[in-house]
Amino acid sequence: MILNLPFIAVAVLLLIGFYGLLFKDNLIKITMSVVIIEGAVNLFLVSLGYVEGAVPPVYTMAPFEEPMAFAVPQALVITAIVIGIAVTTLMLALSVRIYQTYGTLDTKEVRRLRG
Amino acid sequence: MIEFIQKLPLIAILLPLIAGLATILIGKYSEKIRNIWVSSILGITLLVIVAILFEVIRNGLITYTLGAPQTTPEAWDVPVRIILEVDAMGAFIALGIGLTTFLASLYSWRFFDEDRLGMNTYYALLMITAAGGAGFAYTGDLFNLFVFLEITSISAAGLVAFWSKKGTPYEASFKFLVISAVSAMMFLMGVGFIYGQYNALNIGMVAERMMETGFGTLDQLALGLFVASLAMKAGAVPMHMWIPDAYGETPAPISMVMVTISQLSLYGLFRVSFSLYGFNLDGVALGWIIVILGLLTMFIGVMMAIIQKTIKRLMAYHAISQTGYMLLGVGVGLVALMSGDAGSIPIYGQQAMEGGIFHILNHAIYKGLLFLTAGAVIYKTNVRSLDDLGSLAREMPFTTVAFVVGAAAIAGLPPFNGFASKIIIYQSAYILNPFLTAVAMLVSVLTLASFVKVFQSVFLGPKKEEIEGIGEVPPSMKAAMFGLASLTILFGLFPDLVVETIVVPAAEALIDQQGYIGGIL
Amino acid sequence: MKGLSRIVESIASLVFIPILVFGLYIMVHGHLTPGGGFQGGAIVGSAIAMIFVAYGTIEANKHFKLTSLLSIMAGAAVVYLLLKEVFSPYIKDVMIGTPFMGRIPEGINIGHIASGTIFLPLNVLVGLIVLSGFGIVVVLFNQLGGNDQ
Repeated sequence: MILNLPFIAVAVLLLIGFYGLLFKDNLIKITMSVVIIEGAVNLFLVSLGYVEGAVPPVYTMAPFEEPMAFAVPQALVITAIVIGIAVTTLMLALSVRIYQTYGTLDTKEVRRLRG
Repeated sequence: MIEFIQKLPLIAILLPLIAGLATILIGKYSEKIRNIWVSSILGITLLVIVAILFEVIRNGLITYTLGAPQTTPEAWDVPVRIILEVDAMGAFIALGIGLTTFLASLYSWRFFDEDRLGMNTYYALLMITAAGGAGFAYTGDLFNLFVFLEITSISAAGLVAFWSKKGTPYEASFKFLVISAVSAMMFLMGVGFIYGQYNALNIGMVAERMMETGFGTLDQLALGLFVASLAMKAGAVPMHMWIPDAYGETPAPISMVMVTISQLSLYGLFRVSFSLYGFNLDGVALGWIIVILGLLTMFIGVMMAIIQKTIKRLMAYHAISQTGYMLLGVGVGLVALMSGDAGSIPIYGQQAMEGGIFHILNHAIYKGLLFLTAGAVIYKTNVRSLDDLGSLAREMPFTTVAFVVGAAAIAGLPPFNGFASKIIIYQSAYILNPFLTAVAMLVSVLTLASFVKVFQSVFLGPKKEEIEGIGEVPPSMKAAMFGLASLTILFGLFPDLVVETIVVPAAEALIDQQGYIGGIL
Repeated sequence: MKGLSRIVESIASLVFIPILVFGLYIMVHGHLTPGGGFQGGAIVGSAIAMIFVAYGTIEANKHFKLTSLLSIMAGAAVVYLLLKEVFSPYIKDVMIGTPFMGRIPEGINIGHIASGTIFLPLNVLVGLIVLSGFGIVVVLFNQLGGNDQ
């Protein structure tokens, strides 16, 4: 049961992220929901690589007898975190520009394109 | 010499990347040198992509392992490191993005004449998009697919928001970015499911292990996530809302590049369902889902296009509708292939796939031509709405001819290339179910009606005073339009040549899952 | 954006140098301890953001210019890609073959810097790219919004 806890946390974070994405109006809150979804997926990838009683997968002064955790998911997550930072930065910059030209951050007002 | 040919896929990815980052340094000194540098590097990339295509058609798969001399080390039989695996389908798709980024760089020399701020970053982002697109087409590794997908989407989102006078491109780019980020995260979740089960990320390796252990519930979940996220990025119908905004608000050359980026996601969908899952899954169910998505997309796209009043938004809805043709073609192929026995493949299945794949290339060419002509009209008149334009045929004859060629191609009139690919789709879809062909032909007629309306209101009609004496567009823009128009006419006059040489190997490589796995083991 | 009081200004300028050194340590030891290029670059980037918060927009913009940050990023990226693709066998020969930094064993060891071969300059270059990226973002956000008193 205790080993399932990270996956339950992933499910809860995904629910919170999608709720914020679908039902909130402010552009900044939509950005925050996307960041929460990214964090949930990264947590899912990292917790895939756990072996019971593992030590970190580095060679420097490593103990001999214990198993090492999988190193591949950690490399995947570093790449995914960097990509997430790029997306977040771009969304925040666009929010600032939208505020300057439209005058509001409410998605019900930012609707000049329709049809 | 042999080793140099094996390294060509890596050069096609790295050359635009390094040169794009060096453009920021070069652009500080001189503008003309930077323009010539960008166009020549993208032209060399296009030549490398064409060389890879002919090499793969002649000699089979090319595999290149990043950082090791061969795919599997001597003592084991497990592939290591990131492997670029180029088969005929991947080489075919990379043609689209190579051609459109090269022509967009030519077109952009004079398009942004009014305010030329930040052109360095524009060209750098264009070249990074080209590198990301080539990497997406050539990779054989699931996580690498995700990384290149994100690189291409984020650079494209930056390019969408590039040129704005009233603030609407920012809104379009924000919507595009939210959809792109959420669907990429769902794709990554699917990759996590696959990795957790099979401890491998290479597409061929996962297919091999899935064949040994069977198709379980987690694999179905992962397939659902992959199909939903990739269809969302390609613009299939329930998730198509971002396309009219994004294609309509960008500058015209970037709209052309975005068409090929959506087609790349379509290629990703085909790669996952044919080479990763292949004969493990119940192909009939997945095939019918893709066919129904294709029908809905065609119909709703053209229905929404008829009532539009702005040129670029109308063309964006037509782009959605044509994506439906590609989905229909490949969906019919998937149903036909999986419903027969494992040895005998019904001939109409392969023909339907050839039609769908040929339509991908044709659509990139004629839709690019249409967007460039719309850009030329906006560049000269600064007006976007159909109500205020008229009688441009007297002032801009070259643009008029180019528009007529593009409109005839999209409506499926012979002897242009749209007719060649559409007739293959009509014939093979008829054998599966006549209703599909009826809907496809109806959509084609409605497309023709819509473009006749646009032609009449933009180019014909009585003279308007504001538009007197504006003249024709500069030669660099004319050259880009001329290249695309000549390709349209050429592919329409000799369709057999193109299909036999390029499309049939691509369709065969997509169906052949054993060959794909054998390339790395 | 106005700066904060004199105490915060002086402490920020005192702490800036140790943060740079710490970031460089994490960058260089990327192959021995958790860390590496991206994490070290993020540390230095947050130090740049600290300077902007402590000193205010007008004062800090005199020291960090947008064009020079962009040039650092582009130059480091070009050198990184060239080093990785073209020059990597030569650097490996220099660092392990000749006794440039002492003899190093393989496998589990106490951590020699030279056992990273090509990773050492690559990590530092990635750190340069990341810190200039963060610097550009901070400078741009300060120029875009806010009212200066």
